[in-house]
Amino acid sequence: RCFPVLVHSPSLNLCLLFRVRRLLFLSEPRPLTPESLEVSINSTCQCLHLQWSIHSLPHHQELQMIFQIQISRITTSSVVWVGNYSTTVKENQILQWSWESELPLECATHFVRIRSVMDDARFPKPRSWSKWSSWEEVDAQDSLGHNALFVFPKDKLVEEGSSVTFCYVSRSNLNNVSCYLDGEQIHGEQLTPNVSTFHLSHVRYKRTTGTNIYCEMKQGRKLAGTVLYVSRTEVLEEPKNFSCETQDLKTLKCTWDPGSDTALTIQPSSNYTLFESFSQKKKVCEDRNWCSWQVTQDSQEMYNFTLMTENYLRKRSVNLVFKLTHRAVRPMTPLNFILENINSRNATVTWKVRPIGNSTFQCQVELHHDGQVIQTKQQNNVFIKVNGKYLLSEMEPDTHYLARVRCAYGNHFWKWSEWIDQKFTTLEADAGDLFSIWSKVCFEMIIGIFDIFFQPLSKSHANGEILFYNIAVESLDKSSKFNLSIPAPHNDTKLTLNKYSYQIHVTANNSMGTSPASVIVIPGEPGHKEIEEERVKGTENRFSLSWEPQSRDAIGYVVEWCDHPQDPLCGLQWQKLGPNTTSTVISSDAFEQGVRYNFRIYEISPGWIASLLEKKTGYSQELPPSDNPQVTTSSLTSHSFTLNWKDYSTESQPGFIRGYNVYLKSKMEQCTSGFERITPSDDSAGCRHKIDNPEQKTFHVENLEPASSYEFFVTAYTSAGDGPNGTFTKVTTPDEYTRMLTHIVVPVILCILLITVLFYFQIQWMKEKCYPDIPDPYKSSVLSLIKSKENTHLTIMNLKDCIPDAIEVVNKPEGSRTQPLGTGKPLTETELTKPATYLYLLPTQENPSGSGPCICFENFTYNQAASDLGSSGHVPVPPSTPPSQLGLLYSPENLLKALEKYYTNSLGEIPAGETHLNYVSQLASPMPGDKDSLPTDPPVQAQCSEYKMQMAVPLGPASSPPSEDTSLSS
Amino acid sequence: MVSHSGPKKFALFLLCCMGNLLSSHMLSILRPDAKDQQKIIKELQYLSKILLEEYREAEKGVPESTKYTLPCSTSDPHPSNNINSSAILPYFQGIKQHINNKSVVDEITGQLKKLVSQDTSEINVSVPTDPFERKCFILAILQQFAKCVDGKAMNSEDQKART
Repeated sequence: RCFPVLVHSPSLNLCLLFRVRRLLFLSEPRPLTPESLEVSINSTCQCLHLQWSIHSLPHHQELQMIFQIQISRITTSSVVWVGNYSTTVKENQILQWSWESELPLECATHFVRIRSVMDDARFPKPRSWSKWSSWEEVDAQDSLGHNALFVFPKDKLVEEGSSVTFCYVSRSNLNNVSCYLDGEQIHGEQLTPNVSTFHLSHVRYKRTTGTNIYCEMKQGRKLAGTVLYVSRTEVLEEPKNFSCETQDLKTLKCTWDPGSDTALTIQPSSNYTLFESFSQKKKVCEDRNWCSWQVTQDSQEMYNFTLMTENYLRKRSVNLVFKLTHRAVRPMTPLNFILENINSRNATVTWKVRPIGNSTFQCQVELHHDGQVIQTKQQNNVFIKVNGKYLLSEMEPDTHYLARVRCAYGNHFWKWSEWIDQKFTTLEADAGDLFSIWSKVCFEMIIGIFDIFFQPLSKSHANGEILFYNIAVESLDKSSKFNLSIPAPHNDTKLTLNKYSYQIHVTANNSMGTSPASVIVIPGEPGHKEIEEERVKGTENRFSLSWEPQSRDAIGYVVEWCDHPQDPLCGLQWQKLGPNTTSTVISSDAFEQGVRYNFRIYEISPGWIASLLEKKTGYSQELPPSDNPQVTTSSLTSHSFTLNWKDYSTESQPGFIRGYNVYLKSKMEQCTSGFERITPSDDSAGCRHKIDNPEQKTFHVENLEPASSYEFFVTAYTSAGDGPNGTFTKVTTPDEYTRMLTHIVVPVILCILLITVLFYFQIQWMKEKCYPDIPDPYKSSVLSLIKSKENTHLTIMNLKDCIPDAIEVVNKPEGSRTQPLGTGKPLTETELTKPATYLYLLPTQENPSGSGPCICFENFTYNQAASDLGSSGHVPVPPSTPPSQLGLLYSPENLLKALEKYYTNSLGEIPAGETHLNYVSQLASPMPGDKDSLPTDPPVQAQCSEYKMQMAVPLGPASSPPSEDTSLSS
Repeated sequence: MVSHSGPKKFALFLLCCMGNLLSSHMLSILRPDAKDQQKIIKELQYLSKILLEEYREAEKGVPESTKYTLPCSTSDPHPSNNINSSAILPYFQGIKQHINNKSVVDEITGQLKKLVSQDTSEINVSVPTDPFERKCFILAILQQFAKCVDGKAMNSEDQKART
């Protein structure tokens, strides 16, 4: 980087003038070699500073010339920079030029030479360069001192991202030197035997105290170091909010925001300079954020300020143009602000402003109470010259206020001055006349409890602090009277008196006197008027109430309510209204959302007796119900069920219950009748039925599908919406047929079962009575006959001793009925046409030859058919009976089964008269040994004594098989 | 006049003597006892470590230099008493403006002042103006001071153990 410096030297004037005059006579000017070249070093900026001169200028006193400069490092042959510098050369001029080196100049010897050429149009081309000046050598190492080690540059300041080259210079062997950047070793390039350089690219900011670089020589532990200060680019911000103003038209005060100060420790704080272009004046500011400027007395109106700031690396500037009297006059804060003549309602404020010439001032007065502006006189601004005065009025007695005032330049408003303020308190006044009392009366048997409340209508009406209340109670029935005093701040008292009518006078007292008395008359008996409560709608914290006057001679009305109806001490409030008033707005900060407020409107009669006129209730703002009904289900059928929520209280909700919403969810797409789908796209939302009557606390859900699952949810709603979300309750309707079964089939089954059981017992009885399975021999008539004959040998056979041997079942065809057995026709013939079945009851193997007494008994079950036939049913078993069949029957189990079968068949399937089951007596003993041969040899039927006679017969030898005719006597 | 000036001079003389006596006596009263001195040393030991660690953390890459020496001890045989607080104090006053945590430096100087004898003369300490040399100087002073109070604290504990 090069920059010229012009130096004028009077001592060279004569010499240069002589040479120029001589050159003017030359047609071709001789090149002028720069002479007296001097080179110096500026280590701070790492600059080579050159200074030379031209000793003889031809023809003219001023010539345009070009100088070529060559700079070498270490040796003259290693040129590191060549450049031209063009300038106008004057007589007696010493030319200067500087060059900034990237490498610290202490790191190497530098050589400089220079030559020139005329660049003036008055000289013809071609122009030739002059000779080079001799090399000028600059070696900073000579002046380093005697230390063994050096590091350069010293404390360099660069911007972040720049590149820096530094070096160390050692007096001894280079191999022993190590260099470190913030503690980390770095490696460089050897420049000369005792110099090494290090190039750092894009250096980063580390800390305000700089980056530490040092080199260490191992031998002798010699240290040398430097600090590299890396500045952030935002280190110098542009000043913001630059403005100037005057309070007296004599001195301007210019202010600005300099931004954050992030200067490095080595970097000097940036200076700020104000420059005014019209007057061409400049001022170096002493502070970082403001500066004063003396206004000129030559009535300069326009000002054009430039605020400049710079540091080592950057420059910033901002500009501001304004007209002094229009945009810069801000009066000083008013002074001598005094409050005078303060009384209970009014006060006077006075103040002064410092004059600016002959100008007027516009002032603003404000009155504050409890931190809020209650009066402002901006609309009626006070215009003053020097002294200001204003009357504050309409204030409340015994109240704290703050008054303040500010002013602006009246000719051309620009900015208000600062406020000046003062607190004050208005004086007390007499106790207010707008005093109010109210009473709540509770009548008991013989006494009345009077709760008397008294209060000023507002603090302002009290006109100061109330000290105590005087209460005078006068009985209107017994002309008795007594007084009592209640100290403030109590505002109520309770009296227990007889049930007479009383007139109560209450007066309030403050330090200034007594208020007029407020009167109320309390009747001896309570009224019994039933008044219906009317609903009113509130808005935020107010209720608008209106009523119908009952009598024309009412002297006023009282509206009564409680600020906190949920508290035991409900905070009774009342408002007294005039006789012509039929509406009012009750507002209170105590009104809350979701709280029901009850208002009672009383009419005051001429005798000061209050009678209840109307009742009103409402919410300042209704809220959704706080809870949902507890719903139970009943009457569940396949098509309907009933929901009940009888216990749900509508009075304790934060809003008037307008009705209920019954939500029903099912898998059906369509809602049941009476329900509407609320959001068709959302199946989970289901259907809704709206009940508009808040007193209806039951709902019958109909038209449901049998055996279906439903979910229901009932919520109350107010004008603010539904109650809280709740869970749906599941209900499943029963199956229709199941119900029918339950109601019809089950009783039928029960009846059948009952009948069956009855029949069973009846059959048993009948069977036992009519046709028992085995007749009881003890009941037989035979037994009586035997006993009568006194035959002692004859005994009744035990059934255990009777071994059945064969049962003959005769399945006789219809045709055979016409052919009696007594015809002598073989049975085999009959069998060919109609098969007959024979059963043989054979003796068991254990007792194959055993023979017991033959038992003959009357059995209508088996021999009815036989008796019908009129012949014996004992029919020989035909030999053609298959053995296999017989074999099956031979087994006792099979035999019994067969018996059952045939017995059953005889009852159900076999027609009466076709099947005959006859006993075959065991007296006819079967063939011993081979049972297979049994079918071929049917047992010989034993002879029975007679039919219908049962007896035990002694065992005898086996008789021959009976003939067909005598097989079974009947 | 003679008879009047004589008693005055004598009274003045007595007053001077009393003043010297009082001041010397007060000096012994104002100096902390051995137990308090040990506490001060302990406090200095703690503070010096904090300061040294913070400086090392803030100034990375500053080499340890042997060029600078902190006069740590005096000729007092008592281990607590022989910390050369009056000589050390100017060093901390000199480097205070170049240290970020000035409150710790103030605490150290406050504790050192409790140990300073009244009869000691003030020492002038010149802090190097070259930034790099100044950093080396500060680090050397902080290191040597930490080492100094460490040694004093150990000696104090040893002596306490012996007694």
